Amino acid sequence: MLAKLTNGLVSLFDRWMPDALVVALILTAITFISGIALTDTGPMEAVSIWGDSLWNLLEFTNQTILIILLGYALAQTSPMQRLLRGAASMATSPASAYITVTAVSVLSSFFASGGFGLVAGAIVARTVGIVARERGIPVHYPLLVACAYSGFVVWHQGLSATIPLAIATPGHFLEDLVGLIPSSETLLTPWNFAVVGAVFISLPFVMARLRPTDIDCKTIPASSLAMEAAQQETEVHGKDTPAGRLENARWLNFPIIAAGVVFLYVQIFERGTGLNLNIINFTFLILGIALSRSPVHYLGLVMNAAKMAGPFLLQYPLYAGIAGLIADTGIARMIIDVFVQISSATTLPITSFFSGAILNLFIPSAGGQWAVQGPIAMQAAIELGADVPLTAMAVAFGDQWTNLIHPFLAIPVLAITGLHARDIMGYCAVAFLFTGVIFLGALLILI
Amino acid sequence: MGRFTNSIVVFFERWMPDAFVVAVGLSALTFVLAITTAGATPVETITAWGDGFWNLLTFTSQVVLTLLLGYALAYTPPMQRALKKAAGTVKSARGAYLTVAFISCGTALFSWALGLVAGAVMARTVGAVARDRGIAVHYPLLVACAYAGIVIWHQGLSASIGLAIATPGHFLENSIGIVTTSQTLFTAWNIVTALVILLTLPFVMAYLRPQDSACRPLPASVAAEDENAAIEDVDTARDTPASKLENSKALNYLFVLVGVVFLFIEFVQRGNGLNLNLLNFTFLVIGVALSRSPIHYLALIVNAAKVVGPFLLQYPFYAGIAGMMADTGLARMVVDLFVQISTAETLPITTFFSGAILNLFIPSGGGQWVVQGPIAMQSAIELGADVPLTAMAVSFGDQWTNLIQPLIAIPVLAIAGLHVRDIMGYCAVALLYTGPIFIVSLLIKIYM
Repeated sequence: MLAKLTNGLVSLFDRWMPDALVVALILTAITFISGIALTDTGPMEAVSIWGDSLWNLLEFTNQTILIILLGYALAQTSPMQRLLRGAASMATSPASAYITVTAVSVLSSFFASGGFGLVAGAIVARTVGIVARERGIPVHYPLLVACAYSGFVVWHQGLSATIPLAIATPGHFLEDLVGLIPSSETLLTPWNFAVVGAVFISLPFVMARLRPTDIDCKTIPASSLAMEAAQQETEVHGKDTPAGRLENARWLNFPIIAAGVVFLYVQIFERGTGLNLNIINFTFLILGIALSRSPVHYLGLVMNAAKMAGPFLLQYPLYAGIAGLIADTGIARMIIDVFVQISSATTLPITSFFSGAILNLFIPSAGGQWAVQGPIAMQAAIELGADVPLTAMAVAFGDQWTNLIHPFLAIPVLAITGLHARDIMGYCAVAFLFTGVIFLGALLILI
Repeated sequence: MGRFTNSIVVFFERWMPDAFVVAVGLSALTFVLAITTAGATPVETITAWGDGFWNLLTFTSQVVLTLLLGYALAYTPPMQRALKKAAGTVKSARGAYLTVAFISCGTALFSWALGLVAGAVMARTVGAVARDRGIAVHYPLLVACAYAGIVIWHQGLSASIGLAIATPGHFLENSIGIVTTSQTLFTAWNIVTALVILLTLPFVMAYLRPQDSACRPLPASVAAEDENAAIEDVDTARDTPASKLENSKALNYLFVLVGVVFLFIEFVQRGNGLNLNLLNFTFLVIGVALSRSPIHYLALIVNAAKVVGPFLLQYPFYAGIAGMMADTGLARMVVDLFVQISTAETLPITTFFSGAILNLFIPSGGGQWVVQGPIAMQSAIELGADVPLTAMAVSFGDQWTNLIQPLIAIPVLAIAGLHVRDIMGYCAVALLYTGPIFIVSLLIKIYM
């Protein structure tokens, strides 16, 4: 039964899922049209809202691109390559390959951060895919990449969870309404750990069970392998001039590493700053330089990775536009209101889960979604007398859940692994159905 | 002149390392100076460096998008035809240098980012045409011509300082009030200075050309990439509903329609001038309009993305340098030093030089103004110097040393496929030529 369902979903997505850019364009059109049809926003006004919002995420765009670029460059340094390939070699059977990649993805999404989880999972999947191809182990690469993405479904319950961390921070924008909600009532509750634990224990095996028969397995595409080949060729030029000697000087790395380590010490120990995108990027940069042969060698690694940045730079503004449209035309409010109106104190977490899931398709950035949904969901929780921390977590559950069928957040994974969204989305949809049952079951038990 | 140029070119080829090494070297130099002269401790300086490191993320994104979208636009089929046609009118080596340098200077007056992209793409196209026709064009000099426009950008319509101090609520409004563009950018004096450079620099650049036998044409590897981009076509083999959507021109039309409406709102109804976001949006809309389908445009973008790597990596290092200079008081010391030796008459001249030096460490015009603006404006008021002129002197200094600052050249080099050492010798000659023009122009204005 599972095989039939999987096959059906895989061929459905393969046939119907266009490139992520087209998905972004269609979502823009849907939001635009419903904004005009369902609210009293005029077409010109909607165009203004859209155009004004396009560049709202520039800083975040840059941070996300850097995490891919620097993370990939780090993975391409010789010591990291040896380490990754050594680890990948331990996956001796297809099942162990899928299980390993999924487990890495879940753990790194939970303990480090969503962005880190995506990059770590993708790099491990790529390495396992290459090693499996070399050794003739029949691993289905699209499924392997879906495994790398699937762990992202727990990020909003982990240490970088936007909503729970936001409402635990003094001065957060809903403090007047709900006060401070410490992590001990959200992230650090036994039930939250139990949900993540259930996903961690079961999802790797579910993903591994989706594997096709050996003859149907597609290996990592040759076009994607070209990146490694280009890497080997990065030649060291002109050591005969003073400039050339400087470019290839390993000692030039040392002052950067020393300063970097001091700053990381100041930031993490003296100031006690938690993990954020800037610190992850900084750490990737310093580690990447430490493990490369010279500044120019490192630059070559980054340049080689830069091709991946294109789709991202193009689509982030489009999603900023969609988020702007759905928030400012009042559509988002309407969606949430519909769900709130049909809710009681007991059912509010369930309906918030679903409205959060829908909204996430249009506002993939969790912080952006909370800015729109938070005030309404929290107000409703207080008025209906529902469990406030649980309702907040229900929004977080909904947010992370539909990431699995959203091509946008998969772009880093696809960029690193060299696949299309349509290749992995069928498997992700199965993971989506499976984890949906877990999240809903958990919320039902809790209320 | 030939021998002089030659020795400078050889010098830079031998001694100029990659732009990333320059960024690291400048970081180290700033670090040492901050500790030895500004009295900061090593840990304080490192903290200032790390805190500043990610300060320019938004700006970096904007510039990267300009490059990406501009480059993708240049590779749409109609644009390629137009560029090749324009390049086809070039009949001689001299004509090639003049064309590229004029386009670079002219477009840089509209927007510096546009100038960089337009100049570089033009240099590449002219280089390819010259190669095909056997015209002896020295490609490194051609690319230096493409970069030349950056020396007048701060006098044009995208001038950070001139526009900033004309904007209500700018951060120095309390000390100097609103300084309108009619006092700065649109004075006859500024326009004449820009025109003198626009009309003479291309000829100076063309004059630097080596003998035909010494000319290095467009490298074969770069020429080959062009052909790849031309033949690279999108996978239309799949016959699925998804693939039909990906290849549908209708989606492009819809996007362009909405885009044009927004451009109308911005430019006509709101009367906004060109800023980076609007420039990017315009590039995007035209690029989509001229491509065959969404997936075709995406392929152009992916092809263009290779040029953004060095920029994304190096900009944070310059943000770190700016952080060190600002937080340890080093920048203040540099500016103070120049202010102390100044009078009401000489302040614009000394400001020009301090701006020129500071620009090497803080290449972003806006970033430099944040550091230098308060001090320069305060001293102009105290010494009784001409405030708008002093502000313009900072702009002159800023744009002048861009010619030897490799960070700003990265986009041009990435598009042209050259190394910074290949063009810096010629840029240094342009620096020596334009320096006296700026100084004389300031002197005339002071004593006029």
